[in-house]
Amino acid sequence: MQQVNRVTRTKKMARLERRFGASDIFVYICLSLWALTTIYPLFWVVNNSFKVSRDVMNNSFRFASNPVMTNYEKAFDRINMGHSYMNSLIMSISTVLLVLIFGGLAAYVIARFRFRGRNVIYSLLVATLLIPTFATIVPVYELLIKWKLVNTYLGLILPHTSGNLAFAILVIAGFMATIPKDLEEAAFIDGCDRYKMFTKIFLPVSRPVFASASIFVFLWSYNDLFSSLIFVNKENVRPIVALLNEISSQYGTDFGLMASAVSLTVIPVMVVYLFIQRFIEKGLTEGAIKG
Amino acid sequence: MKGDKKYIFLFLFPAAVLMSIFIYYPFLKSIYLSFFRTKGFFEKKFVGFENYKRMFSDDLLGAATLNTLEIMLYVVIFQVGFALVLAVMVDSIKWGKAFYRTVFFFPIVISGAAISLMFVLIYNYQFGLLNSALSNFGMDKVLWLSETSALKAIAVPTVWHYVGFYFILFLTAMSKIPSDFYEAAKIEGISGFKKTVYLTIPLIMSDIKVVIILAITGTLKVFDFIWILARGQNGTEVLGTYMYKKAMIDLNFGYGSTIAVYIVVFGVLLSVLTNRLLKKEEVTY
Amino acid sequence: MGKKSKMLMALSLVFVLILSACGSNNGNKGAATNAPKETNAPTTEATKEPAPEPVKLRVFSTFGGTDPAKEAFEKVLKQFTDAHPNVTIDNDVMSANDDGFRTKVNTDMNSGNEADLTFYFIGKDAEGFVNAGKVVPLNDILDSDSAWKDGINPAVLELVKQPDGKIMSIPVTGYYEGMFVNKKLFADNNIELPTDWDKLEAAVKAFAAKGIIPISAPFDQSHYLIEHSILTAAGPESQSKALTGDIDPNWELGLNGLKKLYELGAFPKDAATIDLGMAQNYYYEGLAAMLIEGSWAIGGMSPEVKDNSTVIPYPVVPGGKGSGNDIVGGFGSGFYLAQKTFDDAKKKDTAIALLKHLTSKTSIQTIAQSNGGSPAADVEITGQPQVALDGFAMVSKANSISSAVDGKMSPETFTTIRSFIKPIVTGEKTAKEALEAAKKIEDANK
Repeated sequence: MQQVNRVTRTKKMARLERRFGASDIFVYICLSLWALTTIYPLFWVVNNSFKVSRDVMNNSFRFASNPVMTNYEKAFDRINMGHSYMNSLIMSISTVLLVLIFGGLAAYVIARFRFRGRNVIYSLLVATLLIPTFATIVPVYELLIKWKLVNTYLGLILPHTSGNLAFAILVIAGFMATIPKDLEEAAFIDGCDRYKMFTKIFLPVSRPVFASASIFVFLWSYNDLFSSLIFVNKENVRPIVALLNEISSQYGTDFGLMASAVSLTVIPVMVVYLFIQRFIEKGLTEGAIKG
Repeated sequence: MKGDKKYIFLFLFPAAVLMSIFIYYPFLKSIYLSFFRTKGFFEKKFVGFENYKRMFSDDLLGAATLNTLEIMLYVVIFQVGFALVLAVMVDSIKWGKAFYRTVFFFPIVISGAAISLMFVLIYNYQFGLLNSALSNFGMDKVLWLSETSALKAIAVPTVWHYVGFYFILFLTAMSKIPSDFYEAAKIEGISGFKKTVYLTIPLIMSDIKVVIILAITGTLKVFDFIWILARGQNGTEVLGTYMYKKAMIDLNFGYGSTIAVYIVVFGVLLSVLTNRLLKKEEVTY
Repeated sequence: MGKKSKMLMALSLVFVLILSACGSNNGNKGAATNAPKETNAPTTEATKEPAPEPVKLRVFSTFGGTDPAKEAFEKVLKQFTDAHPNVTIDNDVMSANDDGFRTKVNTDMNSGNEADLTFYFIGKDAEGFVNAGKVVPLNDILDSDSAWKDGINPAVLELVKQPDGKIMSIPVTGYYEGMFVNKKLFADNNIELPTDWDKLEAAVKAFAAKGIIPISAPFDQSHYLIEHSILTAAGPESQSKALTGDIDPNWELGLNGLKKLYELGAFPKDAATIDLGMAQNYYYEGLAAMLIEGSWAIGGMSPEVKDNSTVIPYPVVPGGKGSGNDIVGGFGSGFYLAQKTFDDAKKKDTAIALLKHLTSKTSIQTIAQSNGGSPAADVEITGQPQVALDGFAMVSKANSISSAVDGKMSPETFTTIRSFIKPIVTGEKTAKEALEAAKKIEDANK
């Protein structure tokens, strides 16, 4: 038995070696080293969420061998945690959907149509990326007060959608720009108009970029504290970042609470990311490109 | 194509309306404010181009611009560079793709404030990780955030934090390259480094351009790390922190808006320049 | 054509779905929050009916989140609603540390969305909406109810008076600033407490030689260094004039005192880049012997550090005009009553009653008890650590109490001075240049 095992093992090893040349090993070493730098901070945050503030400040790199739950107790003390998660999801997912629909349409035009003013629009979009929130927040808040949208879901969804459109349009357009022309031409010959071309060709082929854009739009909308505090800071609509900020921001920062707040904030994003990641995978789009 | 005009208008319309209401109109109001001397939220006095005159003679703004450009250099070379290399690597491996794609994303979900705190505790002079290690080896403590080194020290987390962002965008872009392209390349005997340079990169050039533009515009807004690690002291003031100080702390919205206008114009010029430089590379296939 | 309309339909359908999803979810609960605005309408009916009409009031304050007085404040609000069952209070809170705090309060004031009662900073910060007539001067209301007025310490009312004699807001608790010293570190190293400048210099030299940080303070957030330097060197009178007239050379003297201390090695090596939190941490962890801070710093101390600490006034630099017993302190925030509410016959009396309740002797005591601040009324606060009692004693023995100088100039002016601290102590710029630059900004802001 043992003999056989050893034989199969050496066979396996040999096969493995054949499959992984020296360059593959080098690649895996590089990737794993980088992975260490990206995994450690997440561990660091979670680890510190089990410490009191003073220990975070002075012994943050030590393992929390005597974990304290006080931070989480304080966080869960707020009875409406679940409700805030719901608020966050409703607002961020609506934002993502609107951004994808409107951004996708606009990106299609910018990537595949030739018309005058296209470069101007492109520059305008880049400029939009640079406009700081503080420069828009007061007029937007005034508008929301006027339209009675303060402390409603739309009061955050609309500004967030607008704020993320520029990014989404640029990224999606960048992706669409190099989709092979023959696909388009074939569709044209088949009698597709521009709208059909969009839904039949560009939408399916661009699924990976829609997926990537949506995760970042979700992330930014979900994490945006500044607008949330001003536009939707009431219990019934308050998103989770604003709630967690409330428990961790006052009278000298409580770093333990901050770590637990970050941990609790990260969870939904990770779940959404794992879900969306499937769409970024190559296999899913392969068929569309060929067909 | 015939009838395109209708579609151009129709498809751009919803995005244009939303952005006009919630971004352009408010920002125009800000530009209007840049011609005023503001005092908090209630009083303002028209001063013409006074704020712009001040801007051109503002040494602090000049220094902040130079510091921003330095960080931008690191970002474009290292952040975008690492992201591209990692994406090419992950794209080439057979198993473990999903794992690396997931873990490389981790830093982005952690807020800048939390990452900054971690680096505060790494760089801290009195009891930081680096200096504790040094004193364990019997060496002298180093002031990591000194006048000469602070900006470079802060560039490390700034660059590292968002590598995963560009990594994912590159990986997304690569997913549109049909696999028969690679198969053809394989038959021709093109592989490894050559494949990347002659096949992959040209095919995702338009995405690379977008990434570089995102990197440039992102750097102009860099804020968290600088603010929390060094508060803009010791030669680390950048445009993001300087604007924040003027607008949010000093509540001088007039001058703050002027700086915002400056940043937008500066950023657009830089990206137009980048576009020009990369134009000839674009390939349609 | 048909395809286009189909697409539009699809688009609008998604849009409507999202809208309605939000709308329905919001409708039931949104009613509660939007209600204060709606109550404006049936004013005419209200006067006819004798039974107390339901009134909804919105109170905006900083007593939320992890604020030590959060529970106390909620208790005080509940007392009021228990006594007045017809009143519902919308307790709207936001931390004063948040970026959007000033923006939110001021935009609300500016757009007719102001809370009925707003707890906000007193002084320069409130100047905008006070001058714009958004809030009511409270002098007449105070004068008409002597029981309430007498409950509040008269000195406090004096402190919060505007230059024109109007009282716009009523504070609850106050603060003081001073030099916290670690008595144990001083005793262990046989060093005298820094009760005057020479002893301070001696202490700085002695601690620096032993590798202990003498004074924990950051250069960027150098608020307390500046406030104390200016007050002690220039005296309370010059301090209160701030930069309105010519620059008082004693201000320069005060800032140069910091340079002297820096040269003796008084500040942490990394003072340029740390923030206030880290400066406090050095003191809390026993790495630093002295900390220049406000009374709120006591809250973060461990019991051991509280026992080892006391607080003394910052000494006067040689040649300075201060008496050596002048301290920075005051009442930083208070309740404002909105003019809009005052003009609303239906809400006016209830809002005033609530204001009186929130600033009554017992409410002040309840809140001061939980946040350790100095109460605005003459009430006893029990269970405070010795260092807090030392602080109260320091305040009561002080020759003068001045509110911090940063409230007496525009924020930008004060930031300018702050940005010069590091160049001043390292000798790159002079204190004179700093004050001239600040004066220029202050004049431009007039």
